[in-house]
Amino acid sequence: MISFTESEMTFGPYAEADCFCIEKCTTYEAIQDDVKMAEFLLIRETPEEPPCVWIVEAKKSSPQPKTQPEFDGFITDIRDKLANGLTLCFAAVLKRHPKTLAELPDKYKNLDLSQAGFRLVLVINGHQKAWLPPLQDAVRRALHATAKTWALDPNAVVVLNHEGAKQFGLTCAP
Amino acid sequence: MITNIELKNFGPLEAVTWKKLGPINLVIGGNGSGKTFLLKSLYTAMRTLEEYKRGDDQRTAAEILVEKLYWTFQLDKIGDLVTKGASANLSFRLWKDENEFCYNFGKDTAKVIASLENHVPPRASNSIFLPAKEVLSLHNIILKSRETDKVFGFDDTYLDLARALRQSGRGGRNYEAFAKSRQNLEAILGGKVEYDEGAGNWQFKEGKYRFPLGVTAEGVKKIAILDTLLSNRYLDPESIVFIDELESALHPAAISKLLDIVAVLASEGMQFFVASHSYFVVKKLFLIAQERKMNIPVLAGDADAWRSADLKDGMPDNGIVTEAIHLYEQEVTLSLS
Repeated sequence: MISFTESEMTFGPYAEADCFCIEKCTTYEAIQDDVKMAEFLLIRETPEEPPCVWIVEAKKSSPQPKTQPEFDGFITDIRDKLANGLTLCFAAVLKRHPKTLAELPDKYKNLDLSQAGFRLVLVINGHQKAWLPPLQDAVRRALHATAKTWALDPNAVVVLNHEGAKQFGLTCAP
Repeated sequence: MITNIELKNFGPLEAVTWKKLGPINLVIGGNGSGKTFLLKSLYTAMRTLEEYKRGDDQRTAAEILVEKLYWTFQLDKIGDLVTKGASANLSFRLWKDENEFCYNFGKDTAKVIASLENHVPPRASNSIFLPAKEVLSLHNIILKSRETDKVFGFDDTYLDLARALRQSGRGGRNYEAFAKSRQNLEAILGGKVEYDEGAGNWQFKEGKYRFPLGVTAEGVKKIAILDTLLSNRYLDPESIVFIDELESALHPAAISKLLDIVAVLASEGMQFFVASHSYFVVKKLFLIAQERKMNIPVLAGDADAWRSADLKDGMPDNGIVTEAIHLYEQEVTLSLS
């Protein structure tokens, strides 16, 4: 099982076969200049549905929409990280990078990309719940083109705070 | 400026106390919670104070108040305003710049309010109530219904507004903030609304073209009303403006722009009471309170209780915000469960 700390939250424990820390993998090391990246990928499975890959980015705080330039920059940064995380997931599974095979968990190697579900998840530690709905709308709008291009579900983009992350099993109690 | 209010057994408002009111005050709550009732109760009091001793009017404040209550709430007798089943009288208290105006009466009261105290000096300014429905296209119908036929239907908030709109403009320079606000209102409208004396109706003027008001959007008519009242100087910096359901017929972008104008007018001395159940209105006023470091008192009616808060301190905990969060939670659960 793996657990790790990001943005002062303890993520996990996850089965090693389910989690791929893309931001720290050697594949990303080779391409990281000017390429922003999400923290990790996590496979979630249910008996009824095909596997679903969560692309997760974690943050400590976000600016308020009223500080517009800072807010727009924050949204752009999140969009780039989540969109690049999704792309790198596809590239890794398709073995586009020679180094990936050695580090990619088997479950990812066998992933059927045509059937798998995808969720682009931003977790913000300490964010008030009342601030989440407009932020989710803003991140969702920024990722609209990505979601349409990859035929993701309309509700594939999700913003959680630390409480939501715990509720949906991303983090454990501190 | 109205600084404090206290109502007891006033229709659906069994007990409402609201203190330290500001230039902009927000009333929120579910359908039927009594938001409009509250605004109308304040409006009738203010119009009583404004009509009292104006010109050669010899009516007492109590006589004016009975008429305002009767024609605003349109009941068989004003005693019907007392909360059903209440053992005590209806009681209304309002402080205008620390001077008290108060009255009370029981459920059998028809035409005489025996208990009324007024310590508010006579006022030259006018207050106005902007109802949720637009009135420009009904202007002549409202005036005929009330002035000629004298029948219930359009209450005094509609009649007073129709009369205020009919008032011709005064000459000379308008207040600076009003002139700027009118430019901003007209920018939202994309034109001007004017009364055509010859045709006897309101028309929308866009550049050199004129359109009958009937073909323009409801939101245009609503904004045009405020523009007209600023232009004909029915309103002045001492006026109090009551806006019921500010959001009705307005696009969220227009709501934001209109509230920015409200904030400018409020900074010039005008006082606003806004009733709403719109997330956009609450959020925009919250942002105005933060940006201008301005107290915006909010009275929230949920689950048979009224609670006061201040938007300067944060978004209020109430049904509107809770529902926005509830929808978010449903969305997240749908996606991740």
